[in-house]
Amino acid sequence: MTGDDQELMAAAAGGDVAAFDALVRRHTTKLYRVALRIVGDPADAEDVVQEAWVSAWRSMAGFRGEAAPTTWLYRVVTNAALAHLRRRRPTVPLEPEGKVESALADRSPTPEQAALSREKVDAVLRAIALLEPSQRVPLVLRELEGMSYEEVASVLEVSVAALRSRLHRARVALLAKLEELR
Amino acid sequence: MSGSALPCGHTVGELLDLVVDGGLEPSDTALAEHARTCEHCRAEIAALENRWGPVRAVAATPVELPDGLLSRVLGTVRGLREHAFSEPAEVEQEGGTLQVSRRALLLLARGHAADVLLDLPGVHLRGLSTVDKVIQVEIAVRYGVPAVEVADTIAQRLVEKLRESVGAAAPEVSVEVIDVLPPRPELRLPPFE
Repeated sequence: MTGDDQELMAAAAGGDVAAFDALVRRHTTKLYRVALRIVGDPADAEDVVQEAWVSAWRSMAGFRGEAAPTTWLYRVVTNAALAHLRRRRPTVPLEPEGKVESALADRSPTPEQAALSREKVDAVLRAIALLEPSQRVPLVLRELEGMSYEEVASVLEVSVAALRSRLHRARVALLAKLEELR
Repeated sequence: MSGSALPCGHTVGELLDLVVDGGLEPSDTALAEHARTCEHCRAEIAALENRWGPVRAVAATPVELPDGLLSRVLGTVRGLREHAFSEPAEVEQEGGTLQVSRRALLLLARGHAADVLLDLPGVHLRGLSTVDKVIQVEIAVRYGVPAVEVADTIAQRLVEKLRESVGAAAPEVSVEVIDVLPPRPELRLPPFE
């Protein structure tokens, strides 16, 4: 979050269309990344991002600054992603496809990435997609987005203690899924 | 796994949280202090670091925004804004006339379109706007989805739903396929009816 975000949110909430567009330009990549990691499919993730911004636009006037702008946007996209998962037909599997991996661009790989096989990274994405949404969402926000416990708890509107418990189960479940996929 | 106890009495689950949160150094907890010198914990921590490595690698991998997504989002929001002061549609009903704003109609159409697409795997909404009072729906379809038939079906179902909601004030609907997505065999697309 930055001071600029606060100003943009306040302006957008007051009807400043340029401020809202600036928020869209600034945060769409982040929202898409979260959506992709939760729903596991690029086309579905785009649906979620569109829905999230429409939802943000509709509720922007009610933004009173109780939450930080980034927290509020994470909450909007997380809710949109969860709604998408609930609505998705059961014939559509949760497993991500090859395009998920291709959407994860190999730009400036870290030494750690270079040392790890592509298959291991892909396996993580498949394993995350197999987790229950109640475990997948906090895991994505904390372990992949790098948010603090307090930030994730605020996004999910749960206590930090409850979040820690959910995250612990999610981590254990993720390692178990990774073992199964080996 | 979380309950698996090591010979020292600590569990793998406890150590997993320590590894993931990076809480081993600097040590400010009894567990971290113990783990740094316990051979059982140190061996397990090394194994967990190795197993958690791919998760960290995924976190460090950038995600590329699909071409055109940003402009489509901006277009969607601008489309809604443009109708803030448009002339409302009128619905004749018992006891008077109900006015429905163009923006409300657009949001209604968007919700109905999402419902219609639920029954059509491999079809994704890419844009929804109004041009000359006609709802313009843009979709992307998976390769293998019969694009023309599916576009006709969406138009027909969307008009039906809009008529159920606002009667004669329901606008016309036009559906255009703007993108074809690569095939995804595991989707098991149903035979088109």
